[in-house]
Formats: sequence, structure tokens, C-alpha cells
Amino acid sequence: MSSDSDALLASARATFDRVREDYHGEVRGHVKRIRRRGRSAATRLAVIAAADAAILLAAMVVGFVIPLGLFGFLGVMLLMLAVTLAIALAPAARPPSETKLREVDIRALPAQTERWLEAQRPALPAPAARLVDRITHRLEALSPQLAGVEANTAEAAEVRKLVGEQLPAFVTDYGKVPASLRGVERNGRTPDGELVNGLQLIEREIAQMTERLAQGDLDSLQTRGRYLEMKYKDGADG
Amino acid sequence: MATQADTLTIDPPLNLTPPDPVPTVQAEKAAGLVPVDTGTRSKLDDKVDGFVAELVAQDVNSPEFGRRVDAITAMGQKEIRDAAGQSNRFLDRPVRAMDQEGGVGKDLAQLRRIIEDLDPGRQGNLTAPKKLFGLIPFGSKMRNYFDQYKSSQNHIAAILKGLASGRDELLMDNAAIDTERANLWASMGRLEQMIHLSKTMDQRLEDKANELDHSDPAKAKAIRETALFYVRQRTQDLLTQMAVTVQGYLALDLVKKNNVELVKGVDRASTTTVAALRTAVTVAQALANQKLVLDQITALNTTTANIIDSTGKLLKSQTARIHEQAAASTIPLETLQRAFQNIYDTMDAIDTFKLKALDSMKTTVTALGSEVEKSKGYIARAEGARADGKLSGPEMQFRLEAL
Repeated sequence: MSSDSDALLASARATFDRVREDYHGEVRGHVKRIRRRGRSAATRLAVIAAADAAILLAAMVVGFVIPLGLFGFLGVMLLMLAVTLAIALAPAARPPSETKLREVDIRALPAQTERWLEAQRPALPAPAARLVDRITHRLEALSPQLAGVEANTAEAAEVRKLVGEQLPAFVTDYGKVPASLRGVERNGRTPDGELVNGLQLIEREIAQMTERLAQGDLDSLQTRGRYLEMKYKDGADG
Repeated sequence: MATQADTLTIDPPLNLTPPDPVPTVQAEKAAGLVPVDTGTRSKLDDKVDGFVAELVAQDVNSPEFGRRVDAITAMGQKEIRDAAGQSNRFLDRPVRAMDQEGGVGKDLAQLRRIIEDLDPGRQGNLTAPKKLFGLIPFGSKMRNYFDQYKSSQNHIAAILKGLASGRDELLMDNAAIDTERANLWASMGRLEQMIHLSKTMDQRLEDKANELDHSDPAKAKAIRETALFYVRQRTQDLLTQMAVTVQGYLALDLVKKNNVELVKGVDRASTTTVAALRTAVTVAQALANQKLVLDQITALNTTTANIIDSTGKLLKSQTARIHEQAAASTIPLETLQRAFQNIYDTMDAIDTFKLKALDSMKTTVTALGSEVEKSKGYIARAEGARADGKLSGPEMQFRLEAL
């Protein structure tokens, strides 16, 4: 009896945790997307200010040598207006293409893949989109770890293979399947299910990569702690 | 007289015991060394039961059956890969420990050279008056002898500092070994779980095949020829890797014990050297009425006492005794000689220890090296199985992994 209610409670708790985790993940992803939009607007403003300032400065320098006159002033004003409009209305920077992901530097790779995934997200079914959020979260954790990794080591090759090749190729393959066939069962599995399973595996593997890359630092920390114990604690006892 | 000289060596003789070489661990005996608790055991058993039930429910020729057999061939590959990755590192450590040059070894050799130069026994008759051209009395041999201490004190201080930092390196090495051993212990635990899993699987499949012999002989045959065959292969792989890992675990312990003994030796070498120098100060006072000031060494005494705790304790108890004996003794030079003898004894003990330890280490490394070589074939097989189905690999519910 009690074991039944225990099991019930445990399953309820697990569901609650999962829902909360999903919710948090979604909120986190949402906040991030908004923040990214804000950041891109801010950089755009900065670029406009810099370009206008450069034009003004150039006009001043030229004005010292040859007086610009009224038409010159008007010309400068028009030029500034044109540049401002051009930068403000220019289309947003496009996310990296799949082929570019294969060549990008290993340290910048997680961030680039993240942007690429963000761009694919709207086209994916809901469960897969949630997984994509979790993967971008994992990629964020992976990014600083790669700072100390040499580009031609085995670990770097492993990361490149998964994050730079397998993951984009997998999502692209799914994208090529016609929308009408995505929910249709084939050999016991649907493409949607296949996508979720694959993304789950990828998410797990990225988490394990983080773990593997941290192994050396974890070991070193433990070793140093043990050394301090041996030298200043065990020694005093013995 | 003799008793006085003997009391100086009242400290127990330095006994450095070289650890025994690590025996080769047979694959058959490798399992069962790391305990798997009953809770985990029953969970693994449930996993096997569920797996076998699903396997038997499938049609023998269906892709689903094939997928489950694939899961068996991939069984424990992660655990084997992890353990094998570590085995390359643990072979490295004993090899480095065998390296005689550098670290403590170099400092000890230097110390021996300098101590031999100062040894009163090699100075001829110190009490005989010194004569110019063998005729005219000129200066004192004794004075010249003690002056040598002043000139070499800087060098000795540097060596003692080197020994102290070498000792720290040995401690650091042991701390690293502790970490590696903790990691290995965890890997061995997971390997043990996988061994338990694969052995249970073997048993269950065998039972199932026997059961099916009458009702469905074709299925019984398929189970025996595919599933059971791979299970046995994997069991062998896991056992081989386990044997190598256990052996590496023991080899690391050997290196650690070795280091602990070396630390003892270094401690004693520092203590006896400082003690001899202190004796020299007292003897100089008594014999030549010479005030021998060894500032460097005195400064070092305080730092050494702080750095090396055990040495500090030993020194404290010794100093009072040395003072008493050297001042009161009618034969102070003999006391000094005895102090030098202490250093020699210590260094000889370290040398013999090193020789014997080197033997143990060599035997261990050779045995371990050949075992690692042997296991590489199995690892290659595991890796091959892995390369086949990486991303499209077995689904979550078929994964046979340690908990």
C-alpha cells in the first residue's frame, strides 16, 4: 500500500520536475532570444553613431582645407541620413550556413552552432524545439571549456564531429523530409520520433563531452586537496 | 666511551622496505574484487530479465531481434573504453618513478659528495700539529678543517632545500596517485557491474534456450548462436579489461608505497645531515675553541623544522643529546665521526632500497605492459563495434550500461 503511494508520489514529483524544467528551459530560451534581439539593436545603434561621427569628422577635416559652403553642408547631411537608413534597415546578419560550420574555428563552434540551431528552431516540432533549447544550453556550457583546447587534439576532433557535422546534418536531413511525411510511421518509427531520439542522444553526448573535458581540472583539484591534506593534516597526526 | 657513541644512534635504524612486485592478475580471477551492492545487483538482474524477455518475444529474423543482439555486442563498450583510457596513464607513472635522474636522486648524490669532503675520517690525523715543509709548526689542521664547513654551508643549505622540495614533489605524486586510484576504483565498480550483468545474461539466455529447445528449436538455436555467443565474447573482453585495471590499480599502490619510503629516506637524510653539522659546531668549540657560525644552516634549521614536521621533532630531541655528548665526551671527534656515519647509513639504506624497489618496479611494469598490450586487441574489438553504429546506435531502452 505504502509502496504504491510512494511510487505514485515519486512519479508525480518526476512529472512536476520535468514540467518545471521544460518551463524553465522555455523561459530561458525565450529570454535569451529577446535579449539577443535587444543586443543586435544596440550594436546597430552603435554602428550608426560611429559611421555618422566618422562622416562628420571627415567633413570637418575637409572643411578646414576647402570651405564646403551650403551645398557641401547639405551633401554631408544627406550622406549621414542615407548611411543611417541603410544600416538601420539592412537585413539581420544571417546565421552561419551548414558548410560554414564545418570550417569555423573550434573555439567559436558552439556559439555558431547555437545560432544555426536558433534559426532552425521554428521549423521543428514542439518536443524537438524543447530539446534544441536544452542543447543550446549545453553548448553554452561547452563554449568556455573549449578555450583551452588545441584545435588538432582528439577531443577537439570529437567536438567538431558532433557539434559541427553530425548535429547540423541530422537536423538538415529532417528538414528535407516533406512536412506531410514527418508524422507517418515507417519501419516502426516516425521521422518526428527519430528526430527527438537523435537529439536526445546528441544532448546526452554533449553533456558527457563537458564532463570529459572537465575531467583533468576535476582531477587536478582533487589532487591538490589531497596534497594539502597529506602535508598539513596527516603529517601533524603521524 | 662506546656507550656514549652508541647513544647517538639511538634512533631506530632506518628500515626502508621495498614493496613486492605486483603479480599478474588472471582474467578469470579478476571479477569479484570490487563489491557490487545488493540493490544494484537486483536492479541489474531486473534489467537483464526485461531484456531477455523482450529478445525472446521477437521474431528471430526481424530487425528488432537484430537490434537487440547489436545492443549485446555493444555491451560495456563505454566502461571498457573508460578503463582503457586510464590504463595508458597508469603505466606512465611507474615508468617515471624508475627514472633515477632528477628530483631527489640528484640532490642525494650531491649531498653524499659534499659530506664525503667534510668527513673527518678522510682528513688524516686532525689532532696532529700542522707543519710547514713538515718541519716548522704552522697553523692548525683542526681550524682549517672546520673552516671548510663555513665555505660549504651555502651549498648544503641549497641541497637541503632541494631535498625538501623534492619531498613535496613526492607527496604531490602520491596525491595524484590517490586521485587516479579513486577514479580507477570507480571504473572497476562499473566494470564489475557489467561483468555481473553479462554473466547473468549468459545464465538467463542459456536457461531460455534450454526451455525453448522443445517448443521452438529454431529460436533456441538463434539465441545460442547469436546472442549467447556475443554475450560470452563480451564477458571475456570485460574480464580482460578488469584484470588489466586491477593490475594497474595495484601497480599505482606500489609506486605510492615506494614514494612513502623515499620520503622517509629524505627526511632521515636531512635530519642526519643537520645533526652532523650541529655536532661539528659543538666539537669545534670543544676542540679548537673555535666559534663555528653556520648562519645558513641555523636559518635552515628553523625552516626545515617547520617544513618537515617529523624532522623537526627528531631534531629537537636529538640536539640536546648531541650537545651533552659532544661537550662532555673525551673524544669529541669520534662523536662527529659517528654523526657522519649516521648520514652514510641513511644514504646506504636509501641506495639499497632504490635498487630493490627498481627490481620490483621493473617486474611490475613488464607484466603490466604485456597485459595492456594483450587487452588492446579486445579494446580494438570494442572500438570496432562502436564505430559501426555511432549515432544510429541502439536506442535508449536497449542500452546496457552500468548504473
